[in-house]
Formats: sequence, C-alpha cells, structure tokens
Amino acid sequence: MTPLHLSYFMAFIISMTGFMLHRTSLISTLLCLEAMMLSLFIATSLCPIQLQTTSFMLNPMLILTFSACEASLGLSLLVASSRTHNPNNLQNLNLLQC
Amino acid sequence: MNPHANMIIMSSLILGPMITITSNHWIMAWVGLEINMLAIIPLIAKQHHPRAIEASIKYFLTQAAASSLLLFSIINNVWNTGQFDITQSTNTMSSTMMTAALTMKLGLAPFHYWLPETLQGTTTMMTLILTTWQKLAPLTLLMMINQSLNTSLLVTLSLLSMMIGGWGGLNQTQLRKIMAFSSIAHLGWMTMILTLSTKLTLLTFYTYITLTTTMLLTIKLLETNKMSTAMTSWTKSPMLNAMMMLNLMSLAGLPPLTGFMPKWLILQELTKNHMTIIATTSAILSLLSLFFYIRIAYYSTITLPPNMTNYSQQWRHKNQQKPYLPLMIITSSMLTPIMPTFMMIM
Amino acid sequence: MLKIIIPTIMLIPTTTMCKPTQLWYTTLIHSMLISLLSLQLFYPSLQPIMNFSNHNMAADQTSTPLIILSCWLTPLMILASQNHLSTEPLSRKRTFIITTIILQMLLIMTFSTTDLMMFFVLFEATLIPTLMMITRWGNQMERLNAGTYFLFYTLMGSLPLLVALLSLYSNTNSLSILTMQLSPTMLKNTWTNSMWLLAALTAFMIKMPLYGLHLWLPKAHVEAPIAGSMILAAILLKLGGYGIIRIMSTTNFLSKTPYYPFMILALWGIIMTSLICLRQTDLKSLIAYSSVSHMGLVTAATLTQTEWAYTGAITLMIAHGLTSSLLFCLANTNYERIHSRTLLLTQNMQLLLPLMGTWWLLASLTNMALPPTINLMGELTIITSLFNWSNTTIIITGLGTLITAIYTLHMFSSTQWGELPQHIKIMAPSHTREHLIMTLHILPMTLLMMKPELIWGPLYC
Repeated sequence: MTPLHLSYFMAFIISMTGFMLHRTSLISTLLCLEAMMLSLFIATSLCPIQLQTTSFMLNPMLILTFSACEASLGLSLLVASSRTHNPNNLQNLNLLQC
Repeated sequence: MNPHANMIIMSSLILGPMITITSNHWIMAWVGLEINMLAIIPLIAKQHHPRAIEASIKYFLTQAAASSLLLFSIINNVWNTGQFDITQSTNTMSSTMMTAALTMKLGLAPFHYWLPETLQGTTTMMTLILTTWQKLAPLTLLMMINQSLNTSLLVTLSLLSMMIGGWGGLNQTQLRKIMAFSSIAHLGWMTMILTLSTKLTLLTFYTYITLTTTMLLTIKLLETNKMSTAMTSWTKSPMLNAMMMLNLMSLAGLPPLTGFMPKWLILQELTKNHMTIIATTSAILSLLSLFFYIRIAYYSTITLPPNMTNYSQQWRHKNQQKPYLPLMIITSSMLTPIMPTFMMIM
Repeated sequence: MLKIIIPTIMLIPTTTMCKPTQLWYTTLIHSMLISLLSLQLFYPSLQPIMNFSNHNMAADQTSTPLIILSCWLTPLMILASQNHLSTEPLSRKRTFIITTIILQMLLIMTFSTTDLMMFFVLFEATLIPTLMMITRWGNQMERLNAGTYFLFYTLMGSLPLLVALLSLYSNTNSLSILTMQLSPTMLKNTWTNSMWLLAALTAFMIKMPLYGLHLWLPKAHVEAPIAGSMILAAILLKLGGYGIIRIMSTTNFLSKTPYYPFMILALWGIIMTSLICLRQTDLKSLIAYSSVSHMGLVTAATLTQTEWAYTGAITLMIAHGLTSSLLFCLANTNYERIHSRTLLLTQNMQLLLPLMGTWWLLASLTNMALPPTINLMGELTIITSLFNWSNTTIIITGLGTLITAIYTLHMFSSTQWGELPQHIKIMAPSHTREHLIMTLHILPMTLLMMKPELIWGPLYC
C-alpha cells in the first residue's frame, strides 16, 4: 500500500466512520458525506499517477459534479426538514419507525 | 409540481438506470445510479409532510452512503487492477465492498432498515417505483459482477433477508410496510441464486415486478393502506378484492400460481448444486411471509360483512375501472403453466 | 381422461352464465353426468395395465377408484351445500360452486398424472380452493385459525417433499413413476436415503394424517362447511395415502428400518384417536378423529409394502371416503336444525326424524365395519397383512377395531336414543334432498359389496 493509497483510504474510512457514528445533526452528516466524496475525488485524480497512464481528467470532474449535486440535494433536504423537524437532532426522525 | 420540472425529473428517473444497465464502465454505472437518486428524492419529498421529508432524508442518506461506498470500492479496484471494466472487478476486497454497497442500495438485510420506513413515508405510486424500478440498476450491477462474488456471503445475506423479511412483516399492520418486508424476502430469493444462475435471478425479478405491481395497484385502487381499511375494501370492488387473495397467495409462492415458478426453479438449481439444506431452509422460510400475506387475505377477502369500521369516508368512494388491472392479475396468478416457454426464451 | 376434465372445466362457464333459478340443478345434473361418464374408467382398470390417455396422464388400478370417488363427491357436495348457502347472495353461490369444481378438476389431475413433480404441484394446488372453502364459508370465527393450521401443517411437510423430489430429479433425471423403479440410485441404504425418505414421507403423513401430526384435521373438519368436511374426509386425506403408495412403489428401499417410527405412530394412533373419540362431545370432531383412526390403519398398511396391504389400503380408503362423508352429511342435517354440534343437545333424533334414523344406523354399521361391507373387507385385509408383518400387531389392530365399534355405538346411541332434549320445540322435517344425499352415499357402498374387485387395486389383475 503506497502512501498515496493509504492517505485517501484513511480519509475515506475516517469520514465514513464519522458519517455512521456522528449523528446528532444533519449538517455534520452531510459534511461527512462531502468529505467522503472529496477523498474519492482525490483518489480518482491521483489514479493516473498510480497507474502511470496518461492523465484523463474526465472521471474526477464527473465525480466532483455529482458530489456537488448530491451536496446541494442534501442541503435542500436540510432546509425542507428545518420546517418540520429540529435539524440539529437526527433522532427526531422517528415518525416512521417500525 | 411544475409539469416541466416533473418531466425532467421523470425522464432522468428513467434515464439513470438505463445508463447503468447499458454501461460497461464503472464510472458511468455510478453516474447512472447518482442520476437516479437525484431524480427520485424530489418525488419522495413532493408532499410537504413531515413523514415524506423524513422518508426522503432516510433514503438520501442510505443511498448517498451506498453510492460513495460503491465508488470507493470501484477506485480500490482500479488502483489494484488498473481497469474500469465492470465485469473485471477481480479484487476480493473491492468485490466484497461492492456487494455491501449494492445490497445497501437494494435494501437487502442487514442493510434493510431504511426500506420499510421510506416506503411508509411515501405514496403508493412512489412505493411502486421504489420497490420495482429502483431495484433494477443495483441488481443489474450485481448480475454483471457475479463472477467475482462470494457465494457463501451472498447465500448468508439472502437467508438473512428471507428471515428478516418474514419475521419483520409479521409485526406490521401497515400494508406498505408489509410490502417492504415482502420485497426484502423476494430480494433474498434473487440473491440466493445470483452466483449460480443469473437467468433465474432475472426471472425471479420479473416475476417479483409483476406481482408487486399488481398488488400495489390493487392497494391503490382499493385505497387500503392498513389492515383495518382492508376490511372494508370489499365495498369498492368485490371482484378485485377476491382476486387480491389469489395475488397474495401468488406473492407467497403457493403452487400453481405464478409466484411458485421462480421458487421452484431456484430450488431445483440449488439441489442440483448439492445445496439441499439451504434449499429446504429457504423454502421453509418462505412460510413466514405466507403467514402475513394470508393475514391480509383474511382481513380483506375472507371475512366479509358484517364488519364494522370507523372509517365512514370509505363508503363515499368513486369507483374507478382500470382496464390494465385484469390483465395484470391474470399474469400475476396464472403464468406457471407456460414455464417451459420462459425457460426457452431466457 | 380429457372426457372428464374438459366437461369439468366447462362447468365453470356454465356456473357463471346459467340462470339464477336453475343454478343448483344445472350444476348438479352436469356434475352427475360427469361422474357417470367417469365410471367407464373402471373397465380398463380390470386389466393389469396403465390406462394412458396421453403420455402425462394415466389411470391404473390404484388411482381409478380415487378419480371416480372424487367425481362422485362433487354432485354430492353441491347437493349438500344448498341449504347452507340459501341465504348467500347469488354471486357467492356461484363462487362456491366454482370452487368445488376447480377442486374436482385439480383432484382428477392429481390422481391421473404420471409425473411426481406434476403430482406435487397439483397436490399443493388443492390447498387454495380448500382453504377458501374452509375459511370463507365456515360458520364460526375460529375457521380462520383452522384454515391457518391446515395451510401451515400441510406446507411445512410438503416443502421438504419438493426439495426431496428435486434432489431425486437431479440424481435420476426423471420423475416419471413409470420409469422410477428402474433407476438404481435409490437402492443404497445410506443416511442420505433415510433423510430423503423422511422428507418425502412427512408431507403425506401430515396429509393422511399420522397420529401426532393430526392436530389440523379436527379443527379443519369442525370449522369447515359441510362441503369442505366432505371433500376433506373423502378425498383430500386419501391424497396422502395415494402419495405414499406412489412413492413407495416407485422407489425401492432395501431397508425397512426408516419406516419404524411412522409405523409405531400409526399403530399407536389407532388406539389413541379411538380413545379420544370415546370422550368427544362434539359430533363433527368425533367423526374427524374416527377418520384419523382409520387412516392410521391405511398408513400402517402402505408402509408394509405388500400387495395385500396395498389392496387393503385402497379398499379402506374408498370405503372410509364414502362412510365418513356420509357421517358428515348426517351430522350436518342435525346441525342445520339444532345449530349445534354438541352430542348432548341432539338426543333421540330418531323420534323426530325417523327415516334419518335408518341412515344413521346404516352409516354407523359401515363405520364399525360390519361383515358384508367393504369397510370390513379393507380392514380385514390390512389386519391380515399387518399380522403377517409382525404377529403382535394383532393386539393393537384388534383393540382398535373393538374401540371403533364402541365409539360408533356411542355416537349412534347418543344421537338416536335417550331422552328428547327440552329445547327442541319445533323442527323442520327431513327433506327429500337430504335423503337423496344419503342414498347416493349408501348406493355405491352397497354396489361395491357385490363387485369389490373394482377397488381391489393391484391385487386383482
């Protein structure tokens, strides 16, 4: 495992752990999601270095675009939920529990 | 909703799985999944209701986590093998993570917790889309990478989801939640056979789509969303109500109805591969689902009047005829005799 | 075979389209014609060949009596349900008749198929109409419970059977009962084969039902409407016996050891269920337990796997089918007047319904297997073949016959004699329709006494 590989791997794992465990506020969850996507963006951008191929920047751009879309969708959901729920406590989302 | 926005959203909802199914490149497959997810969230959150918002947040968080996990495993695979080809995902760790991500997208146990809650928060038509169309892309991806999947992992997952689907549904009174658990159990059957024969997975999936669509359209037409309103469904359309029982039995997989056909073939494939114990276990686990289907049938069809209910509005119901429903009911209950034809064309 | 099946299928549109006033007798006459048409199946069954109609359907000496019995029962069911359904709306009457017709069609196909997988599918397919009949047209709320018991007991046993059949298929590549004897793979005496046998037999044992797996049966019988009770007692229990005969005669096992637990349960069940009958207060439940007791004899006979035992089993199945159906009809005539199944409330009925007393007497005599009846023929053949298998079984079977006689007499005396209950002030007289049902049950039994080789199965050829 090269240092490059290790760095994006650890970044993803740590932000995923944050996503799973840190669940008081929706905004922090969205930030963790964004961190996951950004670590993946970095990994895709560094792919040509690892594989020693010609630089092909379409994949990172696609990923960045869609992560931006995802983030904006998450923020809009945050806004929508702020009208009905307390956005600072994800535990309030319990209307539909089995 | 604005018709233009609605059209854009619906077309990208259709476009997303199409891109995924037709792509051979992992990034494009992922893009298809993302487009699909971006399109369906507004549809779920369309009604400004706390439950719809909650359902869409839950759906969004699980799907976003699953797709980023999928992308992570894709990139891991690329770093190790150097190619983006879907069918060449040979790295073991990546393929295991892909299995986890795709089963999370599908709602297979143990990643199933979002499914009943999301379905409960939406309308019946959205439930229909979520249980059928949204399963298409992840299932296709699973079928494309089935060469590198771990059979014992998938069999464990599928047995687990049959169990969860059966036992979870026993506890519910809301029909949409019951349909969610039935979906989990059916997905268990699909993944059970995934590494042995993808054709059978596809056949099970088609049958599942037919049965679930018919059931949910019936539920929509009869406006029954829980057991207590199912008791007065006979007032709206007695014939459809009687056929609903057959449809439920077909969902449970009782011979000679359509639902038995995929189960039969799956059990045959399993015994051919000397997995007799697993075949017996999964056959018996389907009895758990049968119990809650038959309970719906008892409430809706078997016990007719005098049943009193508190829902007086139920009686003021405009009777609508749906011309496609008889055809769908026939398909969803009487398809087993043409099984040889199915086996030939698949 | 299609001569019977196609008219049966065409009876469904007839039921949906005929005039409301003509509904009952059109379906009755039509189904009666079908059952008369089915009698011609007897002719080839007197020769030792399979009577093929196409390469998937055949009737031999074992299945022919059962096919004819299931054809015969349908008009009787339609006849017996008329009073029960008289208050129902027209569409539900039609649905009920269609259910019985679908059941008849499925049963004919089940008994005539030559493929074990086909047999399994149709065996299971009879579940849905029966379930609908029990749970939809039963009388009390407990019918839902009874239906669930019925469905889950049967499916719990038959899903292992499905896997067993499929694994047999993957070994031999054929499930045709005609070529099954020739395949050598089942001859080995291994654990796998024992487990296979257990899985294959349990389904039929539950359907029979074997003592210990019988709990669904009294519930289903008690809660079912009269037609459901009749078809359950007459045909559906026999599916189990027929299935055992088919599985046993097509797959040869060297060792008989795996049968012993079943054999013990069957023999012990004869005594136990007969004793349960002695202390029953519920008339329908008593008849149901007497079915379990008689079916114990059939189970024991089919497991000994001799020609005589098969003959006895088939004879007793037919005889018991007609007798128990007759008893349920008689119980139903009381039920329709008193609205109770309790034995204490229906005493001294022969004073009120004298001709019914005659039918009760005849039914009781056949149920306790009096000499000229085919019931005796079946029981005696079974007892003989069991005695040949092991001498000590004569104690159990003899005791079983004795207790059968005792409880039948108990049933007869407590319904027909005794003191007239005070609450019976007024009672409808017995109808011609009811006498016709009883006659149509007694008539075949009497005629079969004259020519019993029709139902002797493989022995007579």
